[in-house]
Amino acid sequence: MLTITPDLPPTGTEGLEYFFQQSPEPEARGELFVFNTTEYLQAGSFSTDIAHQDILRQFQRRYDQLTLLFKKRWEQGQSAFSGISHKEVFKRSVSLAVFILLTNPEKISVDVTPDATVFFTALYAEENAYVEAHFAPDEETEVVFNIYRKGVPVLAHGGEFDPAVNQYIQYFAKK
Amino acid sequence: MVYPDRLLPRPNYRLISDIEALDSFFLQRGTPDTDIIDPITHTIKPKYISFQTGHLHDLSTNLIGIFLPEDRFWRIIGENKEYFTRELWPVGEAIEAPSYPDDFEHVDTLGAIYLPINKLNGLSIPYDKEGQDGFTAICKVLHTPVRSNFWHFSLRWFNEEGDALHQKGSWKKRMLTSARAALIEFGAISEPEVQKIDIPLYT
Repeated sequence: MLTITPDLPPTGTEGLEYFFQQSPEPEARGELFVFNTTEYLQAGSFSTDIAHQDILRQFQRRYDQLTLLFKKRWEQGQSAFSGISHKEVFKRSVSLAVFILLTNPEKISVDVTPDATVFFTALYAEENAYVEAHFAPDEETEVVFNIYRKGVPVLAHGGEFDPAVNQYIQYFAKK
Repeated sequence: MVYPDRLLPRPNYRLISDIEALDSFFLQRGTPDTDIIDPITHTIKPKYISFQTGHLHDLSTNLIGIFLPEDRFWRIIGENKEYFTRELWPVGEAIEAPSYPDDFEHVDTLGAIYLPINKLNGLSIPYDKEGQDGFTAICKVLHTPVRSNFWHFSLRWFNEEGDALHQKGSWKKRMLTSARAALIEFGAISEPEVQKIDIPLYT
């Protein structure tokens, strides 16, 4: 698992705000960027250690791939999110992507479902994790995850966003 | 075109209650197309696992045996769709076969996921107990024949309060995620071997 340090790139929420500030109609365009590597590197807010830079670049690359996939799936499946704030969907999905990537899965993918959910599949060396954000009009977004270890369910959690993400991160941090 | 008679319930049939006798069998879940696998994770795409709308509100599957993998191509349509596919078959009722072209069509572009019964029936999902709602969700495979398909089975999720379908808000969300997770974890797209079902199990 990647160590969470203060000099990691900004979180999804901050990045989203950055994006919204830069874009006149972000939701209409469906574009999504959490952080801009070039600007981030220029800001000089991270260690000059080469290995550390490599980790950050790798993280950024995986993040870019994941958000690009999310954007593609969102364009195909956004009709299921009628009456739901697209900003909320993007904000939560981007944050989830960042948090799951911090646990360093070997493979990760995302899908947008007809049930107004965003579903992440994260495969680790010994675990498979399934994380789903459920969206509904006028309701708090809930996150549910199930983790399987060698085909056996070992942990499941459902509830509000922050406690769910905490539980998820803690599980992989202990390993 | 004639609808396959072997799929229809007969008055002398009874519900299959001994699901454990089907441990080595597979369920088939139909999908709208064959583009089922996520190219990154090589697992089933979550969007292909969604609950039925309408009366049954559960995860609809077919028992592979007398129902063959290619039988998913028979699709009930038209005014009688509710009657044939969304209402449960009243045990003992004689059924007239769906007629072509009003009641069914043949769509050979549909895909399928195959699910081993022994992995799903009794699968216990341990929701964490540190929060205020500690509980276990248990998956059950139930025989739920409909008028056009005696071999229709449902995946349902239960907790201490019963069937999660009848519970409010958060439970349905947990059930949906658990169902998707389990089907991705255990599902496959390769056709399983077709096994013979013992007649005394359902007559």
